[in-house]
Amino acid sequence: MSGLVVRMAWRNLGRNRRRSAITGAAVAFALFFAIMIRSMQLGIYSHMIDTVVGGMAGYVQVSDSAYWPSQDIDLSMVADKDWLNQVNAHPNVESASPRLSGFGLFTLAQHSEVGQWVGVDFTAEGTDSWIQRLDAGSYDIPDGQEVMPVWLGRRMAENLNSRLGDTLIALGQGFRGSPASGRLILAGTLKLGNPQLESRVAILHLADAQFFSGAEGMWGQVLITPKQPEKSLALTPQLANDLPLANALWSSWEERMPELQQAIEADSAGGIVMLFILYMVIGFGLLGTMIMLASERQREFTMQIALGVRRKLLAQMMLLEAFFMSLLGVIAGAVMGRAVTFYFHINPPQMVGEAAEAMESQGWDPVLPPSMDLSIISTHALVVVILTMLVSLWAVSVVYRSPAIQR
Amino acid sequence: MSLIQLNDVLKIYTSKAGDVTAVDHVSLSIEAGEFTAIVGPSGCGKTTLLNAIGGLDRPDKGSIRIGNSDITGMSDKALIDFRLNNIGFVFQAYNLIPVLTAMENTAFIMELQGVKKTERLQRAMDLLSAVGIDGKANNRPNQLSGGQQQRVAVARALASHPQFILADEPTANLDSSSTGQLLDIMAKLNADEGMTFLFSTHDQRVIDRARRVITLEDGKVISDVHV
Ligand SMILES: Nc1ncnc2c1ncn2[C@@H]1O[C@H](COP(=O)(O)OP(=O)(O)OP(=O)(O)O)[C@@H](O)[C@H]1O
Ligand SMILES: [Mg+2]
Repeated sequence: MSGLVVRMAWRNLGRNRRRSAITGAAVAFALFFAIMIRSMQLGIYSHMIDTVVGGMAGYVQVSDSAYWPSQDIDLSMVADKDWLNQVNAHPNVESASPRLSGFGLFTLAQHSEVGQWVGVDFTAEGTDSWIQRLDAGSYDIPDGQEVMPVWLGRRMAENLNSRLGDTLIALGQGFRGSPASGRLILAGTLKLGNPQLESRVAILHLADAQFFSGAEGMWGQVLITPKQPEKSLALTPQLANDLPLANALWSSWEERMPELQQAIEADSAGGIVMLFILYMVIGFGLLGTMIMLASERQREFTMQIALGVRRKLLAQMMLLEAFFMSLLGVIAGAVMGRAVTFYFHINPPQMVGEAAEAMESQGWDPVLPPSMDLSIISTHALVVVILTMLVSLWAVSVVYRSPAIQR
Repeated sequence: MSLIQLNDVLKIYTSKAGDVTAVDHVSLSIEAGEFTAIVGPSGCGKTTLLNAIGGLDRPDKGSIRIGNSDITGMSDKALIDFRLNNIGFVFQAYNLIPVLTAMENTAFIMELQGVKKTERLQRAMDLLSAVGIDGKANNRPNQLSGGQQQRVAVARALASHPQFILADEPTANLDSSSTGQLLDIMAKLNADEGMTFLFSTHDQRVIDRARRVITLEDGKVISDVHV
């Protein structure tokens, strides 16, 4: 019985090949367009969040309750390694690592730049991600030497006109009145995906930073990357509750950078409105096709009902036919969408001109890497299939209204 | 007991132009094995009467019994199943499902009835040879002539082992040689297998082949002749 339904639905597709192809193409186009819009949007958002948040600010941050917004080194907190081990062991935490930072003047010959030095525990943060950020130089320089290695943001290194191996003088305010001063040897330059950071950040080993600023045993903040970074906001209070630390302030990036979060939400809503309009247009187009198709089949429905075919079977046939039609469109649209997003994944479009400048001034690289998240495809494939099925309810209603005799 | 029994069947169409009594208090009975034509001028109520007997439309009054079943009180759904298992239909035109071959059209009703594949293919093939188009078993309807399509429709109507075959003007769209062939087949099935046929027609050559002729006028039976 169901074999009959499948066979007839499939063959019905071939009755008006041009119409089936055009309908499938409409579905394919809608899906392709949806995949492109959402992949580019979501890709840009995660690029923004990754570069602005993930790399340098942390999805979740823990600091002394008074640390923000001054980031004054005097408001650093006492290192608590037992607590840090607990954080790292928490099931929702991917990694947690302490940092210590402060501001200073970096000088090489006649050039001086104001910057922020940041002491980093490379091992705790994952050496891989730091190796990816390396523009030139290396990390193979042991710490604890008299001359401390430093890795500068590549723009800052350019501005200082420095080369690998040069010795810089750093001078700033240290912990509780002690001076932060020392000689730093340029071990490498970093690309941070964020032009602002690249022109002001100087990375040190955490131990060197503590020594250099007289803040031994202190952490400025602890950065936590959750297993699911997209759930940072909801996770932050839960982590704070599970991992209590006296006088600590827990914050997710959304709280620290509400403008970024709001900009993303507003932009995303705009994309969804666009898609909604697209789906409406495609939906009405499909409805027109379905109305024509059902009225062409009217005589056939009546003849079959007269012979003794149940209306339910005819309805199943029509639904299946619509499903096949949308499935062909979905496959074509998904393949095209995946192919094009994959191409842009390999060759991210580079923004130029004003848009690029605007992006740089907002703090991220002017590239548009699409999201490769397969759930974008499955979500919108489901949307277009449901849309087609809803539209094909028209044909179902025609079946149920069909009499057994030709009038 | 007769195969088909109509009791005082009345069908009135109401429209703005006024009421039309299409079937006017008709009572008649048809025995198994009959080869009966319903005749009369256009608009006399042949189609309306056959639709009522076939369970496609409901009379306004009276009752219709087929075999042991009173179909007058059946629900729409029950009627669909009743038609599937008890009545073979041949319409004037547009009988076949365009996407199915002659063979598949013939096997179609058996498939709905749940007959096993080998059995239904064998029977479909036998029936197609009985109506003389086994050579075109794999043609779709648009690759068959009008007469060939009607013969496939007869094969399909027979396939389900119905109690009788109902045909409303089955030859109206056929030329005289196709009409002759179709009637030969129907008469042979009637003679050899005892299949009951009830058909309407305008065509004198068809009337001449019938063994009982029921004449309607204005919805009433005005003559009923056994030949
Ligand atoms: N749906 C309808 N609504 C109103 N009147 C109808 C309807 N169907 C049939 N009639 C009328 O009922 C009467 C009988 O029609 P019917 O179709 O049964 O005649 P017929 O004998 O089959 O005619 P023909 O030989 O032309 O096929 C006619 O007067 C017709 O106009
Ligand atoms: Mg008629």
